[in-house]
Amino acid sequence: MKSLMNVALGIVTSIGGFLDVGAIATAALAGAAFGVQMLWVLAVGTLCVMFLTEMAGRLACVSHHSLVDAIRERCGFRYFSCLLIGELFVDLLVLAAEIGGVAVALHLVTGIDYRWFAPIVAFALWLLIWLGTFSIVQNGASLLGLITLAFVVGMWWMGPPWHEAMKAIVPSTPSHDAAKYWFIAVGIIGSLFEPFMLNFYSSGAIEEKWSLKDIPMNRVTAVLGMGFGAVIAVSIVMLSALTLGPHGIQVDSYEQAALMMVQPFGSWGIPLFAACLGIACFGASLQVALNLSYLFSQGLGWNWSENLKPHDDARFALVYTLAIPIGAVLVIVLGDPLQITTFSMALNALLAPVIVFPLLILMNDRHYVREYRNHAVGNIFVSAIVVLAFLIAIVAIPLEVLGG
Amino acid sequence: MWLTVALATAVAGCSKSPDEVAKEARQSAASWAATLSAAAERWGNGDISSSYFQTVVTQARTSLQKEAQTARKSAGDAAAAPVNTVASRAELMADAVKRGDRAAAIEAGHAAASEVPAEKIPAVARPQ
Repeated sequence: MKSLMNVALGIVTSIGGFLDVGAIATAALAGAAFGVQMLWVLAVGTLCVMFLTEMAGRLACVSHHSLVDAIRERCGFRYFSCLLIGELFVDLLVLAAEIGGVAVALHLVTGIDYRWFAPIVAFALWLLIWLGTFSIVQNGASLLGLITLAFVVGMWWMGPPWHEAMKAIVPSTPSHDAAKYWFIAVGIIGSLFEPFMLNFYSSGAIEEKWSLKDIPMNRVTAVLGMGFGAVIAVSIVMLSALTLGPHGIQVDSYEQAALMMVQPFGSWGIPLFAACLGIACFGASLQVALNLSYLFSQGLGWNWSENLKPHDDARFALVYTLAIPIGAVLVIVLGDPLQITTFSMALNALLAPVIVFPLLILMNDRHYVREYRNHAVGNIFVSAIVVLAFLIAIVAIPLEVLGG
Repeated sequence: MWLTVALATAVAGCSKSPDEVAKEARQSAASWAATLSAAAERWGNGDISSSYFQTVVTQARTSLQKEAQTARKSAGDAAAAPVNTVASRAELMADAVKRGDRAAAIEAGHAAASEVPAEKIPAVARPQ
């Protein structure tokens, strides 16, 4: 019974990890501009992230190393430094996008400029991490994140075109706006391949003291959790395709995206969209901020655990204490949270190979994973992911200019 | 060094032509016209609050202003014309919100949507 509860909790947790500002924004963009045609990108991306999450969790179960910890040990400090700089830059932008997402959610229901909310959101975020434990931070936000099931309900209410959606799982090229199509595809992949999520997941496994007996649970969590997260993302694509695209509405701002919930839910639509966006982004911003602390602490050999009091791991606490205000300042300075989101998702795609390639090495190293090494299918799949991620990284910047 | 040069060349090679800028400006204007029209109808039905409708109108005006500037700079006044058309309707809607005149907002929304019609994307858009 306890392990069933753990699995259920793991699934809920994964929904929270999967669905954030990037997933919501890119799914809404895709549905409004191309109908259900881009569902195949979500399907491929979800399959990839299931494999990667399972590997990151298995690494932690067997070696008791988080991903960053193992990368630093196996690939050396020089490689880790590159990863640290890259992930610091990208994670700060993602953190800004997530804080911006919460601020926009509050703006949608109050009408007050979102910039006013950025410092308030940042303070609430910091306070929760400062006072909370790992399970409070993780499970609390994830349970609240179940509100995003409203997207699934909305999709059902609208009567989705199942037959066409099934056909859209087969990859296809666009009939118009090719640059925009591929840019959104990069964004979707970037929103699924978020490097912070892999290290956060493996660090969480260490925090919760996972061991060999948790390997099956890790597998179930990775597959079902990411699967459920994908169902919600698919619902957003369908809802956007059914309610925005047919009216000629493209998603250039969150104000337009929110209209997708009005048709199925009437006057509850906007508050529901705001709640989904706000809670999903708040949960994700907790994860990104904590991941920055994990990144520095694990790489530089500092004390680290969200379960310790801040005075017992002062440098761990210092990192998120500095990162969160920087994220809030970026929201105020850079403006347009949707653009920050799409740009940071493209950067995620750029950074993905830097973390996926060492994961492939680690998952074949007997020293770390003993007899639990990758099977040939896993290796081939991760190799394909690395190639895909490299290709995405190469095209991401020109596509940003052409289609962004 | 070579990577920087290659990247810079790629980015430079991808800069948009005036025709592309004009097309994008028209698409953006049409999308905002459709948004304003749909939002006005929803406001008329009481599905969205006055404050949310005002938020949509304000965002539309800000975005259209930026779009008009970009279009004018890169592709001339003709490219900015559809954007200006929708922007002027958005101004009327902003006044309508202040007065609480739902009928006027709906009328302005419909006018914007018919003057700069948007390409409607069916949910089951056909691939090439």
